Parts: sequence; structure tokens; C-alpha cells
Amino acid sequence: MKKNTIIITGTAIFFFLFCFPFFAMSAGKNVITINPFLRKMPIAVPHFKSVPDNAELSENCAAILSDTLEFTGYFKILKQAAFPDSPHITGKIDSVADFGQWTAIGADYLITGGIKTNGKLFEMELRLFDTVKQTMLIGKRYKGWTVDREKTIRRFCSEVIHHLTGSWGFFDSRIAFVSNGTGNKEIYTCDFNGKSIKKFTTHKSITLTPSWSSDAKWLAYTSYAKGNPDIYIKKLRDKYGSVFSRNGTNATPAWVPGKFMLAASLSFSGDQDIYLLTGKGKLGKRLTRKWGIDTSPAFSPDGTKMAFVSSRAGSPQIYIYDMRSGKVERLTFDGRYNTQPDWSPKGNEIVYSALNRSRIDICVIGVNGRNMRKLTRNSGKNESPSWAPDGSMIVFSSNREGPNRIYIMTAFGTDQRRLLVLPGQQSSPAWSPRLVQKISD
Amino acid sequence: MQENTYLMQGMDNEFRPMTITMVISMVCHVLLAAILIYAPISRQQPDFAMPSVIHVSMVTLAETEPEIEAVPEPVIPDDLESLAVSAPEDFPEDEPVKPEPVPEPEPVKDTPDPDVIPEPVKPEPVKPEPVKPEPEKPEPVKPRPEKTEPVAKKIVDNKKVVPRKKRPRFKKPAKIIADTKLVKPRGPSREEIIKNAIANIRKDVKAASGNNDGLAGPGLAGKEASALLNVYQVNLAVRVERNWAFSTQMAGDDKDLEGIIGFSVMPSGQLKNIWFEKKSGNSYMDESIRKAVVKSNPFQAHPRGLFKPHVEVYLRYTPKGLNK
Repeated sequence: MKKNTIIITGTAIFFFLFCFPFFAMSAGKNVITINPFLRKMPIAVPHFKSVPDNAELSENCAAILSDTLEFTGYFKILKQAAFPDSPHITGKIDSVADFGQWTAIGADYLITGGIKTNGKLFEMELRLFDTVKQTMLIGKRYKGWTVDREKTIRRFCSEVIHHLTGSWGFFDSRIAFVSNGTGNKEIYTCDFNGKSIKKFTTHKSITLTPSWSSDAKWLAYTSYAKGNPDIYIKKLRDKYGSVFSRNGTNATPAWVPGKFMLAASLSFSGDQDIYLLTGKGKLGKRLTRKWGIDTSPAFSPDGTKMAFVSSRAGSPQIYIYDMRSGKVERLTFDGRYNTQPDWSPKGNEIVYSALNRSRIDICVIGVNGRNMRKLTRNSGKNESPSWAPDGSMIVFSSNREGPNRIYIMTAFGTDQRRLLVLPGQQSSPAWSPRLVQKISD
Repeated sequence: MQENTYLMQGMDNEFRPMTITMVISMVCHVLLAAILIYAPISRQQPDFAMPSVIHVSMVTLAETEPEIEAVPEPVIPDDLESLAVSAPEDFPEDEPVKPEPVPEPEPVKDTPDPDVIPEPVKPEPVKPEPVKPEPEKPEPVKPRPEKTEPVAKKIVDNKKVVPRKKRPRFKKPAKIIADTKLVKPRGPSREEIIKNAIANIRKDVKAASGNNDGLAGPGLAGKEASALLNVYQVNLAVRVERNWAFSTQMAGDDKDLEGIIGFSVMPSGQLKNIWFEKKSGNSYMDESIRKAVVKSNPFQAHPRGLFKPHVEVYLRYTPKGLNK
């Protein structure tokens, strides 16, 4: 026994003495720390090849594609002047002769396109290449009416975003907002990029807080059209719907995900609490019961929880209501005024506006109350944040340039820019879910 | 006497294990002595003489070198033309990156209906052939007799083999700092970055040799050779950094991501191999850094005086520098 112990001990000492220098050598690598130089993915979008030859069309198609991708904040569009050879000149769009020429100008990705027009019809081919891997990632061919050209390009952009990020993006979504350009606060809708603005309401009164149903076919909002703040529930296509009207305030409707049901803040009982309503405007279950103003409901993507604002602790703060157990937990503690919550489509964060030291800024907080971060700083009053359907961007209103306008930014607060310019002031933007729409609607 | 006999008897019983112990002890001592003799040679390796981590964050560099003029914060150029690198040549044979033939999308035969979405025909999924860099195991540094020779002597010997004209121009660190103005600028603040990195390395070498002369190896040539290698490695790292495009949105704003990628560069500057020492856990980030290394190929050729079949570089990549 003693002999074995001595042998084992001796072997261990021998092993240690012999092998230690080699361990030390392998641990002595010279590791250099680097950080990213560019925060976006560099992509090249040369002019399309057009048949018959139409320089304006080929340039226009490439511009639409570039603008759409650049809007997302994911991409850095490289300048045409740097391109080694343009497929619209070489005529080759289905393959790339020398990927090295594209990586040499810094492109990680390349999109080539070709469009063939025949009267009112077009045929379009679009391809996404990975210039580093030297492979084609996506190849699509579309046919349609010339009026749908832009929508077709957007559809390909969705494919690109889906391939690279795993989500389908927001190119087929719209944004509802309030504008007083006509002298009255009415609700308007526009595309995700601020284009194709349409007036939705004509109440000639005060209309507020639009909210999209989860199928993006219905819009609910508050209007003083009949003197009292009532809730209007209307279908987008024919504006048919119902009105919920009770004594007191009926405000801030929010749709329950996946259901023809919404929650709203009602004060007919004397205390302003949150109730469920049917899509046909009938009163449902009362959700909150605590004394104080409860308002601005916003549901989690799975509908199991609801964020709302309550003054039960003295100042407006955001709380989370569990739809199953009915338990309420306070979410925000920083600042004395936190309102207008919107639950992220990914379910992990809530964006809201916070008043702190006489500044109103957009903040994001995890649903566990951690990782609060401020997205806007020193740029006027920033309010009414709303998530894009893929959670990558946020739309909000701000008076940073004087009047209230609609702005957008990435979910990390970068790329803040104005969405549109309209007469009057705009506020209360609400980003729709993805619209399952036809190319020609 | 009886007691002595008893003691002697006891010793007889313990004699064999004691002998074994003494033999093992002697072997250990001999090995230890041998290691101590060879140890100074291994310490000549630059890896031991240098700190294990050199931070070349473009932001921090400006702050760490007060004796050099303030380096402006790196500005992302509006156009990426300044990022342009020379056209990469083909990969060496052991780096199989080949584009697969791409299937042509099937044309849609149906007449387009204005009310019906023209269904895009999905092409057959293209499976990009994954690049599987064979992880090259770091060779254990063995004490080699030629390492004990001063590097200056080796340079003289190699001049006979390689003509001076064909050798890549790469000056010693002390001169490089003075000559950075002559180098063609590749982008904003690149010179400053390299200049600072070199200054840092020189400082570290100086500190290492000052603190422990035994670790720095004998003679000035050893230090300079070590610095030469490190300057070259930093040069490669800066080039990769300049080609590293990384979207914050894609990574989900997780600033704690961190990985280590290794790659080796042949004397001509051609990329030899890429491998991950440690993946970050975020596939997009890992892919983006791999792309940056590939885009950086070809690299600068080995500097004069560096005699290695290939140079290995290890990069710790992290998005912490974003949104500063």
C-alpha cells in the first residue's frame, strides 16, 4: 500500500514537472482585441438590367431597392460610383464573374436585378449574392402589373431580411397616426416609410390613440365626435364598425392579440379602470380594480400579460397585469412619470415614454424590470413609442424640430429620422402588424 | 546494541521503498535541472516576453498614448471607398471556398392576375458549402538551438538566400514610427492606430525587459525580433478590424459577446487558415468576423527579418466598441 502511494506520488510529481512548461506555452498566445469598424452590413445594389433598355427605369428600381433596405438600419448601401462593373452594362445578372471585385470595395452582399416590361406587365428577376462566400443566397422571379413594381421590390426585400435576420421585416406594414393638418385631429395611415398617406377618419373633431387589431384589418381609436370621448372600432376596408359609449371617459383601446377583443380605460363606474370589450363594442370583464387612474393597456404578444399605466402609487407608473392570475406587478421605478407602454413583438421588452427632469424621452425596459435604457436624449419631447412588427424599429412622435412630427429609429436608438412631412402636427403613431395583403389592393 | 540491531532491522525493511523514492527524486531533480537550463531559451519566445492581451481598440488607443498627438476618434466614412482593399487573390488550396452552381429560378408560367399575388418560384435552396477551417493546433514551442543566436545574425544569413529587392519592406519598429507618413494612407486614422499600437508594444517590451531581464531573452536583437512579430500581428489585426462590418441590430445588442478567432498568414501575405479558438455563441457575429478575415486577404507580406513558415494571429472580437 505504502509502495503504491510512493509510486503514484512520484509519477504525479514527474508528470507535473515534465508537462508544466507545455501548458504554460499553450497559454501564452498573443491575443489582440478588436471592435467592429462598421455597424452595418455593406451591400451593393447596381442598376437593374432593363429590357427594353430604359436607363431611368433601371436606376429607379435600384433606388427603390436600396432605399427600402437602407430604411431598416441593417445596411450600408455602397455608392454606385465605386462599383467595378455594373450588371446592367455587362448584361449578366444571374452570375457574378469576379466576386473579389465586390469584396475589394467593401461589399459583403450584392443584389442584381433585371426587369423586362411588356405593356402594363413586367417580369423581374432579383438575386442576392454573398460576395465573401461567393454564393447566391436568394433568387426570385416575379411577374405582375407595372403599378405593383415597388411592392414587388419590397417583397424581395422581405426575402432578403428574412434570409439574414430570420424575421420577415415590416415592408408590408402601415403606420396610423393623428394629424391636425386640416384643423381637426384626424387619423391617417401611411406606409412604413411614410409614403402613400391616406386619411382614415373624417369626424371633424378630436380623434386620438389609434390601435391596430392583430390581423391589421381593424382600427380602434378614441374620438370626441359626439362630445364625449368614445371608442370607435372600425374595419379598415369599408370603415364599418361599432362605437362603445358610456358615461365618463372611454379611451386608449388596445387589441388583445389573436382575438376580436380589446381592452380600454373606462370611467363609467367613477374610477378609471381597464375593462375588456368585444370587437362589437360590448362591455366585458373588468381587469383592474385598484383606486386611481388605470389606462394605456398594451398586451404581450401571447396575450397572457398586459402592461398598463396606473397612478395607484401616486405618480403614473407602468405595471404588468397577469391575465390568468390577475396579479399586478410594478415594472418601472425610475422617474416620476412613465407612460404609454408598448410591448415588443419579441415579448422581452417594453418601450415607453418617461418624464425625467422636465424631459420626455423614449425608454426601453426588460419585462423583468431590468436593463432599462434610454433611446432618445436631449432632443425635445419624445412620446407615444410603437414597435415595428419585427421589433427592429420604433416609431414615435417628437417636437425636436419645433412642431410634433413622426420619427423612427432602430430598437437601439440609432438612425433617428423624421418619417414624413405633413401640414400641422402629428402624434400618437401606431405601427401595424404585417398586412397580409394582395399585391394589388 | 539490541536497540541498534532493531533499528538496523527496521531500516532493512524500509530499504526498498526508500531506494525507489530516492531514484524518483533524482529523476525529478535531473528533469528540473534540465528544464531550468532550457527555460531561458523558451523565454526568448515573444509570447512570454509580451503581455497576453494587447488592446487595440481605436478609441482606447487615443487615450493610452499621451506622448503622441491626440488621435481623433475613428469616423465611419460615408462611403466605403476608403475601405477598399486590394483585390484578394484566390485562396490557397487548403482553403476550399468555392461557389456552388446556382440553380436558375423557375419561371412562373401563369398569367399574372391583378388580384392574385404572383407567387415567386422558390429556387432550390442553395447550400453554401461551409468553410471548415482545419483548426491548426498551436505547436508547442520547443527550445531550438538556432533561437539562441541573435536575430541580427539570422538576417545576415538570409540575405544570401533571398535577394533584397524581393523582400517586403518592413522596417524595425523604431523606424516605422518615424516613417508612417510615407505609408500610403488607407483610411482615416489608420496611421495613428498603427503608430499607437507600435508604441504600446514597444512600451510593453520595454516594461517586460525592465521588470524581468531573464524573461526578455539575451540581447537587444531578441527583443526587436519579438517586437517585429508583434507589430506585424497588430498590422494584420488592424486590417481585419477595418474590414469588420457588424450590425448591432443583428446581434441583439448583447455587448457581452466575445469570441477568439485565429488565422495564419503565409510569408507572401496569403491567408493560410482560419479557425475559431472560441466562438461567441452568436452565429451572426462569428460569421461576420470570419468574413472580415477573408475580405482582408491578401495581407501584407511578412516583414523582413521575420523567418516563419506562417504567422498566427489570434483576435478577440467583441462588439463592445459599438455606440461609444
